[in-house]
Amino acid sequence: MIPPLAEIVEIPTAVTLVSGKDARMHLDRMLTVDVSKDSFLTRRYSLICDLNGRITSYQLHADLGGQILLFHDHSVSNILRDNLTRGIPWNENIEISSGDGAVHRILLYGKHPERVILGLGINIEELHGEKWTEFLDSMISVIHTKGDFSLYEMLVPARNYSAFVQSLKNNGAEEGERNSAIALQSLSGRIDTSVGVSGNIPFNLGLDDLIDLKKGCYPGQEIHARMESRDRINKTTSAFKTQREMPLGRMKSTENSPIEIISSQQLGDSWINLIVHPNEIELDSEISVLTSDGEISAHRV
Amino acid sequence: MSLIDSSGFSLPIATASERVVVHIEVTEAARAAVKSAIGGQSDTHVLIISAKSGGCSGYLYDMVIVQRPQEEGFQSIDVDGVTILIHDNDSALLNGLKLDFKDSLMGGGFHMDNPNADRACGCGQSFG
Repeated sequence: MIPPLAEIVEIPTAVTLVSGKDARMHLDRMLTVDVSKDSFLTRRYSLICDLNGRITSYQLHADLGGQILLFHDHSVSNILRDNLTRGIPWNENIEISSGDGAVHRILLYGKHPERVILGLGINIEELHGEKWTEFLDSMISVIHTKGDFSLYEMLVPARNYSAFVQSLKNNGAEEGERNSAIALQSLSGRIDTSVGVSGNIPFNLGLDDLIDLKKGCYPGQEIHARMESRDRINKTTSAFKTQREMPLGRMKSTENSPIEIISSQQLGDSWINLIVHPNEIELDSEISVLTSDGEISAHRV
Repeated sequence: MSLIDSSGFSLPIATASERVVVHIEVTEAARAAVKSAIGGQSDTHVLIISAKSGGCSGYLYDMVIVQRPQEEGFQSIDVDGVTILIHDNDSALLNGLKLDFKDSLMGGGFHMDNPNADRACGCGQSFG
């Protein structure tokens, strides 16, 4: 069930700050996307992959000019920060810092969250998914506005968190649940950065838009290019609705197709699951998944 | 005040890098090419070989001819009167490097053979 007005929830996140005059160039050498032309307030997602083309970290960017904030799951903090601190050449100025706890990430979602945004005095028309909009000491952007729900994202410094949340509530937002916000992101076609995706090939997760094969070399690029040129991209990820929670991990459908469930989040009376599956599975199809608890029927949404 | 003016950010994370005494091999062809590139500036200019993040295999080689840097932390190798510098931070990655030069229109230029590399990119500019 989608909240009739608006709910807010904080999504726990790790924060890594990449700063220095060469920060963006340093990042660009490692990321699967081209950030060389990013500018102040650019909002984007990116991946770092290993040499086998598998994801090691998935992060959300907030570009503040010479300082770039990366929001990611705590489980990948060590490998991400290790990747970022290695290979800094002698003549480049780059510093990597942890900002865990310094900035909070809030999602505002529901059928009519615009009323809350307007109540803050923000012009909805000014919000774009590829940019952050500054609001006092915080930043706001939009994840999804089509269909019967909308999702907005906010970055709030810890010192202002309580006051900011209170102002959202004063404008009609209610406390929500992480599950609902992540499930709605799944329905909007975006995997939240808090979902564990490490070890997967980006194409298999439908993250093709985060692979730029024209930007030049990055770790894993040879594998991605080979997969693309040899037409070996045979899996993708879709949202499926079930009436109970799905266990995460690899399993099989009753049609014997290998699938992997990477996220299962409750939304009202249903669960929205992200399932990695062979491309052949038709849109609007129904599959039965064999789990240790029995067979679960899943409808693609 | 802005998003990151708040307290809560750590000091820059430092990664300890192993320092080894660097030995590199420079072939006759590479020696000639380095001397030619540096010209008559060998008193003031040096060749710095370094490794930076990126490339298909994790690290990229980088070679620059610059005025002798003031910074500390370099190891100096004299090659026929030309100074090659390698930073301590890159020493473990580049120790044992063999620098060669191929005089060819296709695929010519400096080539690295690095015993520390488990794998290398097809273009030869990246290793890991």
